[in-house]
Amino acid sequence: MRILVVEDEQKMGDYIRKGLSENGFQVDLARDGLQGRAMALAGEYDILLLDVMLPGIDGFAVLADVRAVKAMPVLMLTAKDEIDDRVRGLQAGADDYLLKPFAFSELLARLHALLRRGKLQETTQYQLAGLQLNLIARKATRNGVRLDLTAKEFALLTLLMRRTGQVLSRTLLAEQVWGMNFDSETNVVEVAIRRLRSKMDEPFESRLLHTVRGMGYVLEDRDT
Amino acid sequence: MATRSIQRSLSWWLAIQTLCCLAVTSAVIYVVAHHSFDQRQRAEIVRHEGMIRALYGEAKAADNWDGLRTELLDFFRTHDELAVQLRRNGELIFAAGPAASTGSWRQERLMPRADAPELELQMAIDVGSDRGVLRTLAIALLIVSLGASLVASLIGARLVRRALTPLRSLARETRQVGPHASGKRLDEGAYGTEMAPFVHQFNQMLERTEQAYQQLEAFNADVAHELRTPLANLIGEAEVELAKPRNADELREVLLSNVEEARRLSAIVSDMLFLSRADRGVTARTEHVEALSIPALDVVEFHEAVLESRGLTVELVGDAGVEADLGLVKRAISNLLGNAIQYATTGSVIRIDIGRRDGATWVGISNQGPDIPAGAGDKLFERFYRVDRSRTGAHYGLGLAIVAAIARMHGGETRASSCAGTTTVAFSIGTVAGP
Repeated sequence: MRILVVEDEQKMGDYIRKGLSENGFQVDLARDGLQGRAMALAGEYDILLLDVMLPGIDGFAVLADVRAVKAMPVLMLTAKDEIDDRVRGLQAGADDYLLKPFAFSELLARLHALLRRGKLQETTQYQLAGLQLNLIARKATRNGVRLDLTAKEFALLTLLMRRTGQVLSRTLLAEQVWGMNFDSETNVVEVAIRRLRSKMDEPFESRLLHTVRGMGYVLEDRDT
Repeated sequence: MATRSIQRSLSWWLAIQTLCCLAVTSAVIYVVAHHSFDQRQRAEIVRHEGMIRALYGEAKAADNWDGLRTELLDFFRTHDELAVQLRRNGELIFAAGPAASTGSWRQERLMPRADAPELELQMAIDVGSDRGVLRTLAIALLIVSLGASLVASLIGARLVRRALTPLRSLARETRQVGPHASGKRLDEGAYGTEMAPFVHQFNQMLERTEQAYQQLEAFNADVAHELRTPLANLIGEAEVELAKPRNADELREVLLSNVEEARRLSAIVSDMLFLSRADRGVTARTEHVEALSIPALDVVEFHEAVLESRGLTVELVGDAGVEADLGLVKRAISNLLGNAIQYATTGSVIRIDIGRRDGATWVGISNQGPDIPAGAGDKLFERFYRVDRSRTGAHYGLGLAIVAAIARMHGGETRASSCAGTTTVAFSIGTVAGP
């Protein structure tokens, strides 16, 4: 998976490169707008991560030039919490938009989501270490035992199953499962996860739903 | 537009007005005088005509023409302001005074009469003295008009100047009040009734400015304080751990703790940015929301697990459609519900009320639990306000401030009341002009 990161901030560029490399991306890093545009137009990338505030030419200008030629997904980063900026970015052809400061897990999740977009229709059956999910029948079983889940719990589990092995932040879960587009001061997601865990994990031998402290939650089979 | 001097323009108008009034008055006086002189002259001529005709009638009856001439001569000797020509059948029988109506003479052509058709009479009267009087009158009127106008405008200018004195002292006073002179206000009664509303408005504006100023200062202090704790934790922890060699697990622990603190900082900063945007007067991007009960139920679903763990149930009453930003409304309801859950007695019912009142749509959330201390009602919506100052944890006291900001962005307001174990916090959505 080749990704081009256009980010002028030294520290942020460095840790994004490191983090993405460790998560299986081949990362190229451009430190300003002009270099970023040249690399984006010349190279073959699966996805572009683009900061808005850049020296040389800004992210919107880079986006416009890239969009004129290429159709790769673009995720934009901005420090400005201006709705107009967001609208402008999306109108200019960005596929998604992430506000600084962001959690790295959030960045990763969004990149994966963009890369998956447009792929073949996703499967309707999931399986992980005895946990089975049937999206059509809306049925979840573990070791053959039917799990009694509420609609939201089922949606939560589906999301975690789809992104097996990926750490999903509370913000992302609140947004994707409940449509709540804001950071909540409360521990709502924590409690929902705890309840889900009590239904699908605790009655069984091994644990699949893990808390990654400071980051979020991940569904994976750590025993095998 | 160039600034005009009220004093100068008022003085000018006063002068022009005085001049106009006096000019009209003078003109009327002159015309009336002229007219009455004219009347008097006519009356004089007519009176003498009557007399001449009577004498002529007597002479004709007696056929004594010399007698008539003598009598007329006697009469006109003492009346040199009159001129006359008497013709009988075209023959001049008597003449006195200058023949032509020249200079200051006014001539009247008198019609022949039926009792003496052969008599042709021409008379003139000297109007020189009358014209002299009229001329003197005209000059006097002109001088008086101009002079009086000048005096009136000078006095007017002084009066205007005096009338505007309160404005000048107001400007002087105004210079001495402001956020730097906290609590100082203008005396509303000191500048005349016309100025009172302005002074009142000014005082109110000052009040608001001062409040905003104080709020800002308090806010800055609060922000610094709130940020200081997580920053101190971040720095302190890192320093302590770096002072000695540690193994990977220990360092991992510190990093995790640091991430948590940094998240907290990040959340505070995001919320403060949001609040400052609302303070700048940014209004919400509204869309039509058919029924508020739908986002409300979404939010309830979001909090479902927590509600269940506390044995709480939610009762939703009423419904309304609004023009609002759906995301923001959800956030406001979520904050209120989170707050209600936190203070609700375990196992009680939380009530969400949606309804229209006073031209706005209100969403109120009530919970059973300890009352808010008296007087804390409005403070609840202030940034970083906590009923319990010592409470720590994930909450940093911006939740209700954000609700208030969202209400403001929708042209609405917030209310909180607490009575006999029921606490209600509500916000309204008014009508906002779209961006």
